[in-house]
Amino acid sequence: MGARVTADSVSKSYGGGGGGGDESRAAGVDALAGISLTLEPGSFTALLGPSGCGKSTLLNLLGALDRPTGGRILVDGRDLATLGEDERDAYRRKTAATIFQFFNLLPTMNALENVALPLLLDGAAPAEADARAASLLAEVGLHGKERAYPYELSGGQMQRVAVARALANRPTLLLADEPTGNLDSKTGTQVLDLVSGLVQERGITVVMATHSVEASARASRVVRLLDGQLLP
Amino acid sequence: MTGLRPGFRSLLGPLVLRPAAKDRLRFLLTISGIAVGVATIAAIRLANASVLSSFSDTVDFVAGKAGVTILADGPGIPEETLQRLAWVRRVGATLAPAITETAAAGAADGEVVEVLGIDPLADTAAREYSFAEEKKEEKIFLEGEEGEGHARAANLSSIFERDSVLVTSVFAKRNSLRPGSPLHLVANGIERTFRVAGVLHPVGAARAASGSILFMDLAAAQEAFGKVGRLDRIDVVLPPGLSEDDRARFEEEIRASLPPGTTAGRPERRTETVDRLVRAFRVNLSALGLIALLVGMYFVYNTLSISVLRRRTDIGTVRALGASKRSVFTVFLAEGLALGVFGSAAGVGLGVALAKGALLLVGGTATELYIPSAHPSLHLDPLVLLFAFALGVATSVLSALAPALEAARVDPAATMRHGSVEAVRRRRTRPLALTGVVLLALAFALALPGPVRGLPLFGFLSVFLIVSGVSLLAPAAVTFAAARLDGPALRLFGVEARLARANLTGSLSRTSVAVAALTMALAMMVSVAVMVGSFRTTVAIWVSQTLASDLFLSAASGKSGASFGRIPDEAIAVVRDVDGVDEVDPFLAFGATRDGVPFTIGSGLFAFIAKHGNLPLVDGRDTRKVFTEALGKDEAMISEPYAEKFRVKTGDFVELPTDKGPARVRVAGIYTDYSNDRGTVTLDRAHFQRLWPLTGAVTVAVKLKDGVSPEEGARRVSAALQGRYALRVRTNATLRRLVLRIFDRTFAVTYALEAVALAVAVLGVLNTLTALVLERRREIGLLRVLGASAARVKRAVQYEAAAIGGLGVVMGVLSGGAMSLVLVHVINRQSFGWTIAMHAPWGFLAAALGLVLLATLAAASRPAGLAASTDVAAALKEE
Amino acid sequence: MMKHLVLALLLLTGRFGALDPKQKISFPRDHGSHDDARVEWWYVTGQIETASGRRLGYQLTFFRTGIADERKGARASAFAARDLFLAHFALTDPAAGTFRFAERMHRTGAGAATAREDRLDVVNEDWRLEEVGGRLVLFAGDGGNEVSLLLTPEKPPVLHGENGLSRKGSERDAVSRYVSFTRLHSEGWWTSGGKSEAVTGLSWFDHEWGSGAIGKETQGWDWFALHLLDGRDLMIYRMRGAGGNPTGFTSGTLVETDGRSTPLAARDVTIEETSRWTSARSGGTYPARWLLRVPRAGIEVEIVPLVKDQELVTEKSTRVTYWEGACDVTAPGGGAPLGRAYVEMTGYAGAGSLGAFP
Repeated sequence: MGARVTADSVSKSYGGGGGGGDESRAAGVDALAGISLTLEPGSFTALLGPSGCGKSTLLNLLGALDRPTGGRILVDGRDLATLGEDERDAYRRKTAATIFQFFNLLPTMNALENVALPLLLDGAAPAEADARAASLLAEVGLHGKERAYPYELSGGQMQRVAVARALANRPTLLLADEPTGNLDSKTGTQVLDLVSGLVQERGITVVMATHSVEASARASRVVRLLDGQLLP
Repeated sequence: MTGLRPGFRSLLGPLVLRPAAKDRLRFLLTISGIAVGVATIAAIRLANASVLSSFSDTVDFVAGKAGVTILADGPGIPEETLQRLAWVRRVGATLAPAITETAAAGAADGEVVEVLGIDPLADTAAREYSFAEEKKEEKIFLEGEEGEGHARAANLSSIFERDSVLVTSVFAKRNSLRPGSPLHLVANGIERTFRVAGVLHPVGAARAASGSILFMDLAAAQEAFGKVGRLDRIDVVLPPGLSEDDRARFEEEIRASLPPGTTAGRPERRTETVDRLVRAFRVNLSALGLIALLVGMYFVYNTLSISVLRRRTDIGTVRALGASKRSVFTVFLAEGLALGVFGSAAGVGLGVALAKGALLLVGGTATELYIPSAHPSLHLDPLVLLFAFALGVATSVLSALAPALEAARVDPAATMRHGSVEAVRRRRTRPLALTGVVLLALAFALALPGPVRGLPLFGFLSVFLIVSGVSLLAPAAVTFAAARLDGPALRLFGVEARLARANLTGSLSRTSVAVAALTMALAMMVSVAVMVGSFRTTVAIWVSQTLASDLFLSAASGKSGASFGRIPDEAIAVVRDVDGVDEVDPFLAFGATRDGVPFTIGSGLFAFIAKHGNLPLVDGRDTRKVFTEALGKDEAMISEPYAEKFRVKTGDFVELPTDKGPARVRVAGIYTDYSNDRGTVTLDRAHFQRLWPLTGAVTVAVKLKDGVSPEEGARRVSAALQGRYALRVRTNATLRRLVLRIFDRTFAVTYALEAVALAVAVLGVLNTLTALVLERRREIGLLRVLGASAARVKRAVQYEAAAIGGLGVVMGVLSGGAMSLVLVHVINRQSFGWTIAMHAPWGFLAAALGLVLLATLAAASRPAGLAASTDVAAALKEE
Repeated sequence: MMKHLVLALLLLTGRFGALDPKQKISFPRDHGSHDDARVEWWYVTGQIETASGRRLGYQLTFFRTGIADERKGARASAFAARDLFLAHFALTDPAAGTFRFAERMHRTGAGAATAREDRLDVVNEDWRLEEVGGRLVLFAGDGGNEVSLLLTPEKPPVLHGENGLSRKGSERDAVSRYVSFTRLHSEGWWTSGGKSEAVTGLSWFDHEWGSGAIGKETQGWDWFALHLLDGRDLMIYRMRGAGGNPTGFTSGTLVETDGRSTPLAARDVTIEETSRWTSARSGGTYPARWLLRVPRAGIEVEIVPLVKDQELVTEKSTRVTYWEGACDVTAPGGGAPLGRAYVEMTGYAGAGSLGAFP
């Protein structure tokens, strides 16, 4: 079953000189200004907006990579702000998985090892992890590529590995940050097909940040974001 | 190529300076790596040069204006030689005969001074003297003279009185002496009182031995030091305006007038002899210093490779913008040059600071081993500093070549990712490893040939090839270990081990360099430790075998650790008559040369050795039998270093210089001897004394009667000598301790060097890991996204450090073991002529290696902390 | 204790004794060295000529001075400096108007200088004076100028004073032994610039030894040794005191053609200085011409130096500055030649010019 996510007046501002050091944001600028949003379990939500609108910031907050400066985020009733460091790590391992525009595979590990990594991180036995990773890779259509290193794979293949890795620990929330941004449209479509198929099967709640209307069309709900605020 | 300079200048900023400013820590580490190597070399060479220059100064000051110096191969020049040379005066030359001796001033344990016995009438032609206090001329010939203007010659003549000495102002000040003060001198076991007749300014001969020299009359010196009838040197002052050819002919004619066993040559050759003596020692130290620099080279290579890797895209961009290959190449070479210049400059400074300490070590060792009265002071030879600086810069530029070439080869449209670069590197692993294997095979082959001019050059080359070969094997070793150990490590240490493993192979070019640097340093440490340990154990066993007597006597030798002077026969007789003394074995020796190479001619009671059998023979034959036979046939026994150095075997004949021409003596056997690396030819005392008019003994071994303890025996012997002779009396146990203490002090330098090299290597691990962590910021961020905690990220870095350390230790132990074989069986044997049995100091090695692992882990804590504190969200945004 | 010390001192200081006036002089032993004399010298002066008539004056002096007041064998080393051996060699070339000298100094044992005790044989480096079968063999050289002479006595040795005792001052020990061969026929070679020429001439040999001090009032002395053409030889010495005035210790010996000698006392001799010369080197002003009269012997001659500058400044050895030169002997007022002479003058060049002995 997917996670229920509730954002309640979530805001994020980057303080002058401190914080993220993100060049696109001026000091003291609000990245998110009081967003309230509820995601039903198993829903597929697209966050649509141009660069710098706050999509990534919202995903980082949902993924517990960052903390909001105002408001609350509840995942299955748990306020992320109440989680300690260890719980946040566990949350990222088990609950919220992420896939990225640049795939973000570990270049020093082969496909199998990349997929097995979250399992191992979560304490799985190596043999068990390898077996599950292999079956996941098969599921994303990469059977036979287990020993391939990221630089030996195409963009689409890399993103498939990333998807397999994201699903490894049976997450309830999948955060996708421009997953097709670095792929040609045909491959992008294939990847999106794969993702939506897999999440539907598993009933995972999906949040996908994208600036592409085409990609957002695949979502069950589209939320528009501009300058840190939801557009009605 | 006209645009090279502006192109170069415009590239310097973006490709080198700004990144360097950003990565300050790593650049500082690199610079310090070079600095340590340069400092080590500079310090050793400075210390060595200071020791030698202090000796050569002494030689020069003593030789004065002499154009030819006559020395004896054996125990002194017969004084009749002066008559044989009388003809030289007819052509305007002057003969200045002298006695040289070493004595302890003040008391038996006082300051060590050189004593020069001179003929004041002849000596002013050869040596300069200037009196600190002009005093009224002494009447030597004419009465009633006022004598202004003659003070110099007359004052020098004041030493005609047999108890008069002239001291230097330096020495006078140190010992609060004034004209008229009494001065006690202990030499050859006898204390005599002299009177200070005058004080000399530190000019000319008074500058020798840094002022620790005193002058007395030739006759008084002959009498005081048991050298009646002999001279130690004759300095010949040549007539002025002699051409080089004339000089050579003159020298040749002088040589023709000399009795056998006497040589003539330029005074400087004394320095050459000493240089020869300390050369093996210096070369060994310098080789260690070079290895330290080699580690520094790896630093530069490492830093620059990383620079190139990290700026591949930038390089591609500037190439696309029109920068030439050569500009890019030059820019990175310039970076190497800059690193070299900064590092070497810092290294020279550090070297000067270290040299003071090194001087104590080198100087102490050289003094102990070779020159008892040397008081070397630090001499900052600009040439030495320049050499060390140039060496540092050159090696840096050399190490920058490969990365710079790689940078130049970057495709203008470079979008290659790190991983694919690494893939190229990985493909090179096999050829590199093959080259390494070839080098190792070559190293083995080079360990076989003999020395070159007394130096084990091939041996050093062999060690160098082992180091290089093993370094080339490092990538293969890392890959192999990663492949083999991934599974077990994962099961044992968890996913962090997998992360560490992935990083190790993923950044193979850097991790293998770190492993190689550590391997080198450890190999050096292990090999030297095994060599020194083996040596020490061998010596300890030998000492316990050979030091069979209960007491050992030598002439009091002042503060010096070395022993000089001879115990007079009368003192030996006194000792023999002490109640409780069973037997005495006097050992008498003097220094001689063979083809200009110094060795020792010694003598003992063969009957004593034949009875006790306490001197092991190299070929394992029965000592008692061999010595009995040698005694019967007037044959010689030679020490192992002599046999090695001069390639002499049992049954060969050796020629020994005597007044009556060379004496040919058959070699009856070779005994092991670790007390003297010059090599010794030993004869029975009676045989020896038939050949040379020497009496007394350098050392006397005393066997006590049963039931007399060594301490009691020492007490009785000392009591009998009390007030008559100044001898050192040591018991067997104290001498053994002393031998090992001297041994340990001798090798203190090598331990210090090892520590430096290890520190450099550990810094290298820190450097590499820091670079890797900085480079992997995004990957670390990703790991955190995947739910890895900061602690686990940290642990992964530590495991990586442990893996580098562990690999370094394993490879270091293996290659160090191989190197120690070369050190022990090739280098040591060819340098010193000693056979050493391998005895690995396991405890020390285990402790040292453990310490290195701990140090590596400690060094890793900084990059690990850096990894743990990575800002995840920001890291992910990069690229 | 005291007694032992005194005995020890006696043993140590036993070398130099006062001369025993009764001690008979015997040759050839007394031509040799006397170890118990503190100072001893052997002096040869002479004038020689080459076949072509070129004239030369030469002086060769060997000094021995005992510096260690120890008996023989007190020291083990052969170098123990018992004695210093000094030597001077001078050549006067009147044709060229030149005078050159060389000096040497060595110690015992260095193999460079010795003096035998049993007969005359004194050596300093390659300079040598040796008696061989009643004749003296002499060699000396300096920078390519060498003389090598065989000296044959034409008269027996002369003992000056009573039993060879020559008094130099009023002190009891101001006395020395003084013997001479006054007339030595000389033949040999003179080598200069690699060319050797045979030479003949007449030489004079003095040998003097003793341990005593010189008279306190003495400042210098003048010494004259004349070979007269009539076959007689004349030696006169005159000690000078403050202000250059004679101290009264003037004495001489007249040796007849047949070798008989007559001592001369101060009253027998008058010496009148008729010219002076000042040395640029030492600043000393010396007499440069004399009228010498010995009325008892019917001698009235003028003595004229062959070269004005025959001064020796011996900085490297004795450190005495003195004048020793070859002279002509003529009738007063530059008349007919009457003989040849060597004259020595000390004490004219200020400090450092006065010897301790005789």
